[in-house]
Amino acid sequence: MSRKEVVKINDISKPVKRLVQLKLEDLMPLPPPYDKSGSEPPLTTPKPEWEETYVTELDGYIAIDLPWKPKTKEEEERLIQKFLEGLKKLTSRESNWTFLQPLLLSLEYCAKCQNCAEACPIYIASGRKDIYRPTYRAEVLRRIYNKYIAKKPGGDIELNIFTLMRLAELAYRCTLCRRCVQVCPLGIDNGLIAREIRKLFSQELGIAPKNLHEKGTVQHLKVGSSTGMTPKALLKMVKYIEDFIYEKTGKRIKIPVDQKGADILLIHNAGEFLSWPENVAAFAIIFEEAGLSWTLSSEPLGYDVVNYGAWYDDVQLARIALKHIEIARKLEVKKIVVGECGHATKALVVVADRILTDENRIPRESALPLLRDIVMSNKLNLDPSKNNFPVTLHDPCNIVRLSGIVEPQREILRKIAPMFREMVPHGVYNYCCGGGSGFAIMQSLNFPEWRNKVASRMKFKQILEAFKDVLDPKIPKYVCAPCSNCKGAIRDVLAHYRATELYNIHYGGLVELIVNAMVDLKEPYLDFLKEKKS
Amino acid sequence: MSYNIESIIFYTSYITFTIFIIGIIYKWSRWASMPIHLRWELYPVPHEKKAEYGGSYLEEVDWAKKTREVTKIGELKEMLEEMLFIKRIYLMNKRLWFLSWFFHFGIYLILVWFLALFLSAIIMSLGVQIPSSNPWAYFLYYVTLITGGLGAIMTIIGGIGLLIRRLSDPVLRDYTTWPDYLNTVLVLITVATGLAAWIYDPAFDLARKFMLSLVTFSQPPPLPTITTVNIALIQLLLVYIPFSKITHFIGKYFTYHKILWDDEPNTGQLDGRVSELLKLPLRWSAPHIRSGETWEKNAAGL
Ligand code: SF4
Ligand code: SF4
Repeated sequence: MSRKEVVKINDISKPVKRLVQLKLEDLMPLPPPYDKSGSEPPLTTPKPEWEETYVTELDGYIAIDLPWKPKTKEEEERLIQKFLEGLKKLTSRESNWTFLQPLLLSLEYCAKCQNCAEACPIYIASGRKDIYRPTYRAEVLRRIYNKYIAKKPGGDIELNIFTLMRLAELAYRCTLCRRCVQVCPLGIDNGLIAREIRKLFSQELGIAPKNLHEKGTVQHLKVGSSTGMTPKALLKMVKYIEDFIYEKTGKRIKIPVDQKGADILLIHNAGEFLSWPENVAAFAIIFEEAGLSWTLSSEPLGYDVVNYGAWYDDVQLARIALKHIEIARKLEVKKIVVGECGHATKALVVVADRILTDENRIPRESALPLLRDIVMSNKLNLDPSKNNFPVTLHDPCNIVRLSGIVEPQREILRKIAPMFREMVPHGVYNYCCGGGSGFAIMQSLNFPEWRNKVASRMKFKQILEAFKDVLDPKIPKYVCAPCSNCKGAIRDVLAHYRATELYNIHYGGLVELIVNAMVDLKEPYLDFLKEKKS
Repeated sequence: MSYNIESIIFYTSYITFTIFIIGIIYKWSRWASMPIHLRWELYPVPHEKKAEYGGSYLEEVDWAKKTREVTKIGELKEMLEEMLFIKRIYLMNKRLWFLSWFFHFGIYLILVWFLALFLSAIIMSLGVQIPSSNPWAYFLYYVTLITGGLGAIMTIIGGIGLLIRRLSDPVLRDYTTWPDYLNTVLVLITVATGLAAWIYDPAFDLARKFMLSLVTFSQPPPLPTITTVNIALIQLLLVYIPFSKITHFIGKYFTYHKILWDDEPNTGQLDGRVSELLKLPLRWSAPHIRSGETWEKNAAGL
């Protein structure tokens, strides 16, 4: 038996170029047909010029695509000082009441039993690399806190620039799926700790991946959408989608926009308009068919329900949530319904709940229960045999484990997809798609490689296993993922392994599948079914 | 009362027990008085009607208009399963579970032993002899006998096992700091001396008499050295516990009941508390934050 070398807590401050180097053969093996060597693309090393500007000292991958690597001793010192000031704020009532109690409890009571490690898809998929243990980054932060802030005795740690740089990157090696928390006998939240570290870096040092901050929440608040889509572009998109619906279904639908006094304000993840317009269209088809009183909004932020603050910054989270509420109030709707977007559901329905006081307390719901009620009421004329191909369901962590919305999507699938099969495990014990906490949209430098190889590996394995009896490329298969970010991650992992091309595995949302079952549609709504026929 | 060693530990019993109670209350109130946090629950939440598969009230259309039903029974069941059987470790790691369960269950038995001793002293002060044919005396006599011996043995087996596990696994060793070791070692030494004292006091007659003296505030019986050492260590532990991670039973109450299972929506009942907090100034200094302004102002504008 070969003895694996342990990367110790204190190794985080080691002045070496790379703390670990991932190797393909160390990663968790994939099931057939990806079990042979050469069946997946190799790992790459970071370009030498990146190492000058970006932090590659952890595992060679770069999540924080800012040139924040200090060049001089003074810069290093300044960063460390600032970090400590931030840590003080992070553990103070005034500046961090929003998560103070969960954070301090998690710092204080971990028994270091490592029960959580086996629950973490990243740790397992990496071939059990110590730095990806749920407890690794948490213990580093705990020791820094104990030594410099709380002045408690215990494990020592050296807070040098390597510690700091690696800790920042490590905060982005966890998808905040919180699967580890479910098995912790003490309820310690290592996912939360990862998010708190991100917060410290963002709120104090202004350091966060560009796609989350600069091109994310900042752009969202300024332009109206993190995609950069302006209200004008949105209105054009709506026209396009109306034509798209006509083309697909022969139905002329007028999509209501800015209808004051409608019952429902439906807000999508704006990424849907650009990447998956068929999802937005399907919602419109279903809502119209069901005779709902609903509207979209063309106000800035009113057409983009994402809230990247949920992943790294409480202030941005609150700003965006309040904007969404303000728009709903102006439109005088009865409630906000969040489209197929997991983190937006959690952010607006769950996390923001307590800061929405008085007249801001507008009901907010996920679209899934509403869709379930529509499908079950038989308002739509559906023929399940139109969905006569294997379908499996991906559970978005934010909707399922973190919001408790588990059955509605299943009830729908059991009704409309005769070949529906579950992944193992599923429901509240699901595995993250690998795109959680912003990973799906962090597309710069070599980070997508890490996501596809490590973060999404467990999900890809589950998908292959769910379809193991129908891998034959002649049989089309569908991974239903009712969340934009999950779809993004699954799209990328299927492409990385060429699973669509080689094994006919497709992905998409839930509403597309519902519309595909509508009796009065002559052509299949899902494109891959059409291609097959021609 | 003469000033021998027995009388010293007699008096310190009251002092250390008082410190313990005050310490525990302090610890508890420190967590209880923390500001309300944003919602961060994790399903399954056992008081939900649909807890069996992890569902919540958010599965309902118009949930805000419906009355929310919760089952405290579900929560109680989950709590007991976790407390008595440490279910979460059982499901993940059987070997660790075996050791951890022995250790904790042994400690529970020792706590029952203390309670039995205390009750024994009470009925003795009312004139009942132990052992005797009085049904209460009979019951308490055997409860003391069984819980004391079994509890100590289980705690020691589990505790030594846990220590060996920590010392022999390079990862666990790396994560464990000296206060972590100290906790286990202190408990182990205390229980071990208790076990040694048991040899001189197989039916716990002396222990009962000492407890009786505490309850009636009267002259303690003469004690063998090992028993004195044991009592002194128990007192040391009492003082130490509130300042150590042994209070994780308190932490666990809060992580579960006040965070992971706290899915109560704000229907106005929290507005007062939250509005207060929103008035606190933010001190963060990143460029996108208006440092020094309140949360409220920060959230409302760019
Ligand atoms: S987080 Fe929980 S499960 Fe993980 S090591 Fe700490 S106590 Fe154990
Ligand atoms: S939250 Fe998820 S990804 Fe992060 S450490 Fe826990 S199990 Fe791993």
